[in-house]
Amino acid sequence: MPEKKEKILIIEDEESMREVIKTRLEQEGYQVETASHGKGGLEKAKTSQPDLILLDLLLPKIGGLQVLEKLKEDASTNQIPVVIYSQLSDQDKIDKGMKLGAAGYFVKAESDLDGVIQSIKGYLKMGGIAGI
Amino acid sequence: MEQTRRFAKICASLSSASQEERLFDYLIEGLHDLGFSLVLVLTSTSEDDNRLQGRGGLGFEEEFSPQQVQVNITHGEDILSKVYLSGRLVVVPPHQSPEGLGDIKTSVRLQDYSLILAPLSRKGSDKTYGVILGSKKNQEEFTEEQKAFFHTIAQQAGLILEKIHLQQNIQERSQQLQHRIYELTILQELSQRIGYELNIERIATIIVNSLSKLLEFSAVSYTLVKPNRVIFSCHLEKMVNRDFVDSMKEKTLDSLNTVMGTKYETKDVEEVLSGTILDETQKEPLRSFFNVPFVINKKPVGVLTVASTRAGLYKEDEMTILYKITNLASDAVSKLQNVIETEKGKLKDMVESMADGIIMVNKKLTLEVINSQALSLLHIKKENPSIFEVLEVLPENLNLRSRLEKTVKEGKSEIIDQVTINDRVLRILITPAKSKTLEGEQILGSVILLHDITKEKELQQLREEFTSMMVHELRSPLDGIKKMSELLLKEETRKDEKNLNKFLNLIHKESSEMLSLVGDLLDIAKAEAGKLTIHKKAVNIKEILEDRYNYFLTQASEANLTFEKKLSPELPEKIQADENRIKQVLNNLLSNAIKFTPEGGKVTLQAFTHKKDNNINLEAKAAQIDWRLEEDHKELTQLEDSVVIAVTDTGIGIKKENQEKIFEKFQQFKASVESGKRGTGLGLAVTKEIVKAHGGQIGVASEPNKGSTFYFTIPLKSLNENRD
Repeated sequence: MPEKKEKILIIEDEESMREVIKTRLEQEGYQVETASHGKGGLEKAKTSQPDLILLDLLLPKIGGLQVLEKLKEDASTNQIPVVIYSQLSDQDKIDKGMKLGAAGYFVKAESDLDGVIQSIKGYLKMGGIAGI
Repeated sequence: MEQTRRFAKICASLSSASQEERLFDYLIEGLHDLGFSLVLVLTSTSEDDNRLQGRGGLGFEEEFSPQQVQVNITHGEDILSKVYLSGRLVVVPPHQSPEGLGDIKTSVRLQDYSLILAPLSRKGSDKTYGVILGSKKNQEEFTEEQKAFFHTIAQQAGLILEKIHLQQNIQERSQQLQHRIYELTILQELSQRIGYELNIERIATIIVNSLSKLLEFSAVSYTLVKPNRVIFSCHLEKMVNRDFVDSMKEKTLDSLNTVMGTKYETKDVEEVLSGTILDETQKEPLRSFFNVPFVINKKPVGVLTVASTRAGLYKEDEMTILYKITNLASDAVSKLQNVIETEKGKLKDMVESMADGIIMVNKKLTLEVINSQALSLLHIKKENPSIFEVLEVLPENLNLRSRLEKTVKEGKSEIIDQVTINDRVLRILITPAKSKTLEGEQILGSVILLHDITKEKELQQLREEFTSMMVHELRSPLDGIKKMSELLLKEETRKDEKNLNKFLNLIHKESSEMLSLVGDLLDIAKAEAGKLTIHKKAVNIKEILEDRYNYFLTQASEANLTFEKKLSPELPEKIQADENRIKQVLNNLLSNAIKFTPEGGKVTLQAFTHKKDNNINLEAKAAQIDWRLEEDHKELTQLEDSVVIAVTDTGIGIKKENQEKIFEKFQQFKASVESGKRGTGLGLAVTKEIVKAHGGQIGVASEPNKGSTFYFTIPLKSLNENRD
């Protein structure tokens, strides 16, 4: 259990997925904020300044990659490590995500939650430096 | 005995003669030896069968020339004609003066002689070549032996003459034949060389170069009319001076102007000299000259001229051969041009009928062919644009011009995989147009093929979207269910009852949605295979509608929506329909309405009956139906008696351009991602298939941000039919 509760923002439109990750991260002792679409996610990132953002790509209104781009453009959010957690598994999406400055990219169906959480812990220790 | 020996000798010598002159010499000398003091040979002339011509003689006075004797053959009493025509031997005793001896009689005192005349004719032959006349001096009579010898010798000479004539004839014929064969060989050679040559200048050169084998000349030229000038190309076979060429040119120009009806002058003429060189020491002027027009496709294009320093060289034969040659050349070219025109026509039809855009350019990048498909793809209004006008409409960064140059130069193809021009996605293929000739492969130009791949791209995009949809709609919920169950396997999660309930509910919701999605996929697959079956039974439509209304009431209230129903009291008790399928349709329309209507909005489920030929809009109004349809829904104007079911919402609405698309497969997916609401777009496609299977209509009327009315109809007719 971390001494000071680190804050993670989940931007995810699927309720079940959002709830699963939220519950799981809370079980790990993190403070969790959620947003169900890109626009809300961007606002929350600015206002609550999370330590890490878990970002889905297929999002209503503003797509995930666009959210990432905006996060990296904004000086108030560009230091926050962003981990992409998406169903999309095509290489060009992965490349694009990494190019835009994502700290990591996980394909939902190919990676179990425990693995993702391990990686999240790693990113948090590194203090936001992209690990891949 | 002496006489007989001489006679035999004469006969032998006659047999050895192979020429007429020789034969006559032998004949005259022989007869002289046999004691005939005067001998004269006359034959019919080749030009004129009615005249006898002296061929030789002996014993006459010096001033008399037997060769100059000419006697007309008459049918009268003159003796020469008599012998010639009758073919019989005639003996004239002395002191008689027979008619028809003309000059001969006056030059020699023939009345002092006995005369014997015999036809030059083979024994037994009708053909008489002439007459021999013999005589004896001093009024001596001819002995019977002498008469017999004379007659036999004349017959023998006739025989030999016949032989000689026959031989001459054969020789002449074989010469003619040889000449003809020679001509043919050269013509054939020429036609092969002219072959597929369309360039008139080159054809003329070939002819001019071959002519020396057939004709004698000092110089030969061809003169062709080009736009605004005349080319006089002269081949000097022998050395001649400037004057010779100038007068040849002048004469040629005269003929050319006559043939073509032109007025060219020497200054318009461009002279090209080839062959040997001009030599001013040559003093011979032009003495013989002739020319023939050069005609292609019945149109004179120039003149061929032959000239020589020798006089009187060209007669009919020479002209004929040149005519033959030029005719051959013009025939070949005319035929070839016709073939090319036909082929061009065929090619044009073929190119025109192609679905792809075709542009052909030649080596100089001049546009040769552009089909209407290419014109329409490039939005070119002109029918015969230039290549610049074509290149202008193509994006500059394609560097089409340099690509064309490259294909023409290097003979390699180029592909521009994908380029968007005027909203169409095109694949452009640039290939060299090659032709195989005897000289090897030749690049004629380049072909640009514009292949419209817009539809392909759309399909590809649809496939990609379908894959994304499967990921979003199938893998996501499945993955969610898996992750939720994993989480529930942890005691820590289960201990928290709130979490337990939350995740069990979510699992239930996700798996239900997936089940309905799989159901939709199966239905679509069935519909596509034509196997979407419905099982019609008499059902109570009011009950079905009530049932669905109650089912969705909870969902609507959870979504903070007002949910109302307006069912016309005139609805029939029973209709023929598949209850489960109708429920499926209602589920789709109602869940969509609830999904796409913001909080505080309203969804209404309505039904009324339509009578054939009545205005459905008025009927709806009368039944106080919340009906967004306008007058122009044409599929509703010719409706049978039907039940009309409509779901009206105050939702986000659908733009006009999307209203038809939403009933197509997968089309709703994009909208669902944007709105954040789940939906494969399969639901409405399945709904449409079910309504169609019932024989009804389905449609939508909508206004963005105000709301939509989805309606479908179930015809009542099938009910009556089934009852009958």
